Amino acid sequence: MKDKALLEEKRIKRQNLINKIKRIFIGMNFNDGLIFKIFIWILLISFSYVYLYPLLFMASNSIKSVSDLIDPGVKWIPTKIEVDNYVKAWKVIGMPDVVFESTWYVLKLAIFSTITSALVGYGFATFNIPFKRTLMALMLVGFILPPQVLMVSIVGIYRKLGIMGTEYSMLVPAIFGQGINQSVFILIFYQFFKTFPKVLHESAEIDGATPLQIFYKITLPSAGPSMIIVFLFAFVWYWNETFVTALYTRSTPTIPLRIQQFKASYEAMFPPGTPGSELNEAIKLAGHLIGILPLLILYFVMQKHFTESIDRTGIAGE
Amino acid sequence: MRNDQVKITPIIINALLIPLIVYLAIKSYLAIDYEAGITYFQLIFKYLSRFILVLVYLVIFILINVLKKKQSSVLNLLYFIGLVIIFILAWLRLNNKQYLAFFELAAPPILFYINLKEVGDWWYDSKLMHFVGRIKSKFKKREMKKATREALLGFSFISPWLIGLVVLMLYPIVYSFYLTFTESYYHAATGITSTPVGFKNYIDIVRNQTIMPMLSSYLIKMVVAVPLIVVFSLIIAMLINQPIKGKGIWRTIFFLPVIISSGPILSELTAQGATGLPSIAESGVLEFINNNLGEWIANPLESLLNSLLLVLWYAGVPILIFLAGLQKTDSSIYEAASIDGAGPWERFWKITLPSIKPLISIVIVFVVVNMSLQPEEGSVIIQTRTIMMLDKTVAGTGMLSGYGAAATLSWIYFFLMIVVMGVFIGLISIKRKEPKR
Repeated sequence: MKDKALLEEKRIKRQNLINKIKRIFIGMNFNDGLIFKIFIWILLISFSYVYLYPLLFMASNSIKSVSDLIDPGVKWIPTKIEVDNYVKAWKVIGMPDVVFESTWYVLKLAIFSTITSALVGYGFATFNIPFKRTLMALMLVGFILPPQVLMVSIVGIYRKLGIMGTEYSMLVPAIFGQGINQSVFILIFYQFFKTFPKVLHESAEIDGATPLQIFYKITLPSAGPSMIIVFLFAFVWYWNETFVTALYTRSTPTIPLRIQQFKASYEAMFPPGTPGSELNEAIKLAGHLIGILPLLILYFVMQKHFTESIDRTGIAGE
Repeated sequence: MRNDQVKITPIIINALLIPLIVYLAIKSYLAIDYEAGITYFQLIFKYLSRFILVLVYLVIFILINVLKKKQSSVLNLLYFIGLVIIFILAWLRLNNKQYLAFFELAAPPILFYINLKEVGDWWYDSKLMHFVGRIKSKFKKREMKKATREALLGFSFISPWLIGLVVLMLYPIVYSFYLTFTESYYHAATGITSTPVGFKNYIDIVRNQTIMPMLSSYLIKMVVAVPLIVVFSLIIAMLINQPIKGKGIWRTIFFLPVIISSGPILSELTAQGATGLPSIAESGVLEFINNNLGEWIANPLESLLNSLLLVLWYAGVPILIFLAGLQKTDSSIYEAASIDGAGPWERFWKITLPSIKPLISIVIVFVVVNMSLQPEEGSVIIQTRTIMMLDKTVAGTGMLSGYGAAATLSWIYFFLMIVVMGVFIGLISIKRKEPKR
C-alpha cells in the first residue's frame, strides 16, 4: 500500500514537472511560449537582415580599399579600413556647407507646407463647405496624379511667373497646397481637427474670438503632435525628392541632387589620369552614406514621432 | 482703463517701424538673387542698399531702447537680443553666407511681435480703440446667415489650397490633356507653339518600340510586386504585433528605408547589385526563368528578382499601417474565438483578415502610387522628361519628342496606374457568395 502511494506521488510530481516545462516552452496559448518567441525572433532577425542588406552592403563596401573590392574572398569585413574614401567623398560633396544649404532649403519648404496644410485641414474639418466631398476627392486625385501629367503646363506657368529655375518654383506649390504629398498632410490635419470638440469653438466664439484667433489660440496648440509629424515627413520627402526639384529649380540645392552628380564633380576635383585618383565604388558608396547621414541622425532622434505617426493620424481608423 | 493719457511715442515708433519691418520682411521673402549675369554696379548697389537698411534698422532700435528705459527689463533684454540678431545677420549677409538668411527671415517677425505685445496693452485701452469698436459694432448689426458665414469662413481657410488647385492642378490637367492632341514644342522666344494633330501621339506611342516594352514591364512589375509587398508587410506587422519585447526597435528598423530612400541611393544600389539576395543569384532560379519562360515575362521577372530588396523597401509605411490596424482590433474577439475552438490559422482568416481589409485597399493605393512615381533608371517617368526636353530636330526620325508626346505618355501612364489600382482593389473586395442554408 505504502509503495503504491509513494509511486503515485512520484508520478504526480513528474507530471507536474513535465507540465511546467511544457508551459515554459509552449505556453498557455501557444503564442506565449518560449518556442514561439524564439521562432518569432528568428523570423524577425532574418527579415530585418534581408531588409537592411543593402545598407549593410553600403557600409561594409564603403570602407574597402581597391584590392578588397576586387578580392572575392572579402565579403563583409575588409582587411584594412580605408578612411580615405570618406575623406574624398566628404570633399567631393562639399560637405559642411552643403548640409546647411540643404537644410535651409528644405526647412522653408517644410514650414510652408505644414502651415498651409494645417490651415486647409482645419478649414475642411471645422466648417460646412459646399461641395466638400468633391473637393476632397479632387485632393485625392492630386495625390495619385503623376507629376508628369502636370509637368508640361506647370513649366509654362512658372516661366510666365518668372520663377522657373529658382527655388520659388518649389515654394509656390508648397504655399498653395500642391506640394509633394501635401494631400496626405492635409488629410492628417483633417483627421485630427475632426476629432476636436466643437463646443470649445462655440464657447470661444461667444467670448468674442475671431475665427483666426480660435484657430491659432485654441485648436493649433493641441495639434502639436500632428504638426511635428507633418513637418518631419515634409522635411524628409522634400529632402529626398530629386525628380521635380531638378526639373523646376535647375540647380542642386539638396544633398541627394549633389550625389546624383557625384561622378562629374569627382572627376572635376580629381582629374582622371592622376595616380590613385580613380573613382571606385567604395568612394561612391561612402558619398551616399555621408549623404544619408543627416536624415539618419534626424530619424534616430525623432524616431518615435515617425513610427507612431500612423497611429496618431488615424489613417488606420477609417 | 489703465491710463487715460495717450502716449505719443509708441505711435511714432510704430509708424516708423512697422512699414520698415514689413518692407524688410517682404524684401527678404521675395528677393530673387539674380546671381548670374549681374553687373558690378548692381552688385555694389545691392550690398550698399542692404547695409543702409540695416543701419537704419539699428538706429531705430537704439532709439527705442533709449526711449523706453523706464519699462520692464525683460522687454529691454528682448530688444537687445533682437539687436544682436540683426547685427549678426548684417555681418553674415555682407559675407554672403546665404543659408544663414534664416535669421533675417525670422528676426523681423519676432521683433514685430515683441513690439506689438509691448504696445498692445496701451492700444487696447486707448480711446481710439473704443472708437474703432463703435464703428465695428455698427457694421456687425447686419449679420449673415449662419450657413453662409460658415461657408465663407471655410472657403477663406482653404483658399490657398483652392487657388493652388485651380492654377497648379485643374488648369494643367486640362491643358496637358489638350496637348495630347497636338504637336508642341517650346521656344525661348515664342513660348509653346502647338499644332493640332489628332490622335497621332497616341498612335505613335503604341507603335513605338522602346515605350511599349517599358509600359508592359511596368505592368508586370506591378502585378508581381504589389501583392508581394502587401503580403510581406502583413507578415511583418503580425510578427511585430506578437507579445515580444522591443517592438520599438523592430518598427524603427522596418521604417528606416522610408527615410533614406531617394532616387540616387536607389539607382546606386541597383548599379552595385546590392538589391538582390545573393542566394537567389547563386541558385538556378534566374536561369530557370530565362530558359522556360517567354522573353516578355522573363525579363521583367528577372529585373524584379534582382531588385527584390528594394521592392521590399516600399513596405515601410504599409507595415505601420497594418500594425496600427492590428493593434486596434479588440483582443476579446480573439479570446472568444479561441474558446470556441478556433486555431491560429482560422483566427487569421476569419478575424484578422476581415478586420484589416479596408486597410489593404489603402496600402494598395499607397504602394502603387509610391512605386509608380519613383524615378528609377529607365522608368517611364524619366523617359517622359527626356521626351519633353527633346527638340523638334529629332522629330521625324521615329523618336517621340516635344511636349505633346510627353503629355500623352504621362496620361497613358496615369491611366495604367488607375487600372492597376482598380484591378487590385476590385480583387480584394470581391465578396464570396454566402452559402445557402
